[in-house]
Formats: sequence, structure tokens, C-alpha cells
Amino acid sequence: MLKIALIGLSSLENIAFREISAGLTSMNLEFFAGFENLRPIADKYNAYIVKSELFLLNSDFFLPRKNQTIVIFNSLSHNCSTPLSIFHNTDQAEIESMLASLENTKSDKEVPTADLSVREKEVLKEVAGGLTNKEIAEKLNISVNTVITHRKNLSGKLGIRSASGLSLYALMNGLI
Amino acid sequence: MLLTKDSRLSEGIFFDSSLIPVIYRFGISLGVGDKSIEELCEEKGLPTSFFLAILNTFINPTYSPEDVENIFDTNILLDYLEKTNDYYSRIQLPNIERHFRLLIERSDGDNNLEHIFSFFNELKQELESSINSDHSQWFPMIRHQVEDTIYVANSSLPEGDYINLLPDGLGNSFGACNNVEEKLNDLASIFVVHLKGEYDKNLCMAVVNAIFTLRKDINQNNRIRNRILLPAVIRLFGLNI
Repeated sequence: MLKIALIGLSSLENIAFREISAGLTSMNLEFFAGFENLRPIADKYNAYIVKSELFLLNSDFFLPRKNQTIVIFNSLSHNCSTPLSIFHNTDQAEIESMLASLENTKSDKEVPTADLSVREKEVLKEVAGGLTNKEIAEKLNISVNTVITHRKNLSGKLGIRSASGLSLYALMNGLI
Repeated sequence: MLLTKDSRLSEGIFFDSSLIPVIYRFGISLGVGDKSIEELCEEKGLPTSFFLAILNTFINPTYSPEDVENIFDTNILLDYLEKTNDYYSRIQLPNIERHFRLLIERSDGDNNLEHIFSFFNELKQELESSINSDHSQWFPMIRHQVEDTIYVANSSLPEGDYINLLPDGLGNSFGACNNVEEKLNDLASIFVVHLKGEYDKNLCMAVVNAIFTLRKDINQNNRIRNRILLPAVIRLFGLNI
């Protein structure tokens, strides 16, 4: 089942998406007014349909997941090929095609990854960026011991211990 | 399985075929017949206790040789480690690289093989650098010390001062080997757990098998370095580490 989060859309847009997706199998849509409350659990979803303003405000989350994201623009003048984008006057067939492409993206490319917490992913990104444990602690405002604990958990879940191995994993999974 | 001087070498090889490259390093080829280890060692002029200790270290992950000081002639140990290094740089690394390049070439799907290959290259360079350091610096230095001669690593240093350089450099040298082992474990995990996309399955199996073989060899070899060579060096140089 493809779980899609619709974020920041108007009621009418939400209804439209629900109707369009009804014709597609194995899709489960959930609606959110904003992104802040969703962020801690956002990785539970396989794909995101998000208003352009929220996409820009939370680009650190959406850009690494660009293959899983549809951005809704209000203006006809934008032209964006990646991430996937739709406009208010886009016809129903095109939207269906885009939703179907999300479905294919999941079935073809998604790899069952370890269930990493939001904090573990943040630590992983910083490790991949070449930061030391001390630097990560300062950046995330946590203690060095907490960073070490997160790194141990990452190694336990992923079976990868070296910093360059963790960087490779982050790269392979769109985290950097 | 614990091999003794009366065991047939063929029994050991049937038990664990990873002994094949190890016996090659001692100048023994396949076709060992039913000779005992002691008979083969006499034939080849090898010290039986040393040969047995190396074989048992390889096939038993928890084996720790006793009477290390008497069994291990440092020069013979260094000869063995040099041949091991040569085997890595001339046979195993090029073998993985060749198969890996073919795997990338013959895999059309959307996969991460190029990224993984970069990681392998990083590991390869680290191992080659560690081997160069062994052959150009550490092994000659240890041999000179064994022969009770003064080795001047850097002619600008006063005679004998080179020894002050040992602890950090030695630590880095042994640390580098352990880093390579850690990265090989990571590489194996990445293939087994995290590989995605389409790829040539036969070539992938060849690459993974070669990685597992090198991983096991380096793992066992590091045990020899850490448990036998390092204490011997510490004794030789009278280091207080």
C-alpha cells in the first residue's frame, strides 16, 4: 500500500485528489494542514503532495525525496521538471499519470531500509558531511555521548560502522 | 578443527578451502597427496610449529597460539606477511576490481553500483597505502632491529632517535589495517543488505564472493599482526606502549 501525505492543500484540492486517486489501486491518502506536526513521522509515508510554499520552507526534507514528491504550484508561469509538479489547470489524466508514477517509483526503486529515527537520520547526515562527533553534538545541541549512542544505533541497524560507509548509505538512500 | 603436526594437510584444506592461498604463500601447491604437515614442512624446509600456528589461526577464529616467543621467528613472520600483502595487492584487489568493473558494465538497471565502486576504491587505496608503509618503512625497520643494527629512517635525525617515532607511527600502521577490515565489513553489508536496482546476478555473486574471501583473509591476518607481530615489535624495541 502506497501511503501518501497531502500537505497544506485546500479542502477542495484534497477532495479532488481523493476522487482522482480512487481509480488507482493500493493508495492511501492522508491529509495534513501543515508540516511541523508531520515532520517527526513524515518518513512513514512513501510519497508527498505538498503546496509549493511548504515545499520551499521544508526543502531540507523534500529535496532528498524529490522522486517521491509532487509540488502544487498556484502559478501557471512556473516550469519545474524535478520534483514532479502540477498546476491548477492540469487535467485529470495528467494528475492520474503522476500519481501512477509515484506508485511505480515505490515498486521499482524503494529498498526496505532500516527504521531510522528522525534524530538518527540527522546524525547520519552530519556524519556523511564529514563532521566529528563533537561538531555534530554542537550543531544538533546534544551531548557527545548522545551522538555516540546514535552512531552505535545506526551501525547496529545498518550493519555499517565506518564514516565513509555511512556516507555511502546516506547517498544511496537520498539522505544527502 | 585443530590441526597437529600429524594431521594431513589435505584434511585441513577439505575443512576450510580458504587455506589454499595461505599454503601458496609458503610455496606449497595443490596436489599435497596424503602427506602429514610435518612431512611437508621437512620437504619444504619450513618450521612446523610456525606453519601450524598460521594454519590454525586461519581456520579457528578463537585460536591463539601459545609459546609465541619461541615459535615465531620474526624474519619468517615478516616474510609471510610480505607474501600476504603481495597476494592482496597483486591477486585479490585486482580480482575484485576486474569483476566489479564488469558488473557495472553489464548491469543496465537503476542501481548504486558506481557509488559502491567508489567506496571500494577508497578501501583499495587505504589497503595499498598500508602495504606500502609495511614494505618501505615498518618491515625494514623491524628487520634491522632484529639484526641488532641501527636503522636510520630519516638521515636528519640523530642516530637512535628514530625509535621515538615508533609509537604513533606503529599505532597508525596497525590502526590502518583495522580500518580496512572495518570498511570491508561495511562493503559486505552494503552488498548483502542495502543493494538495490537491477544488476547482473552472476557477476554480483563473483564480486561478493571475492569481497568475502578478502575480508576473511584480512580478518585472520590482522589477528596475526595484532597478537603476534605487535607484541614481538614491542619486545624488540623495548617499547612501553
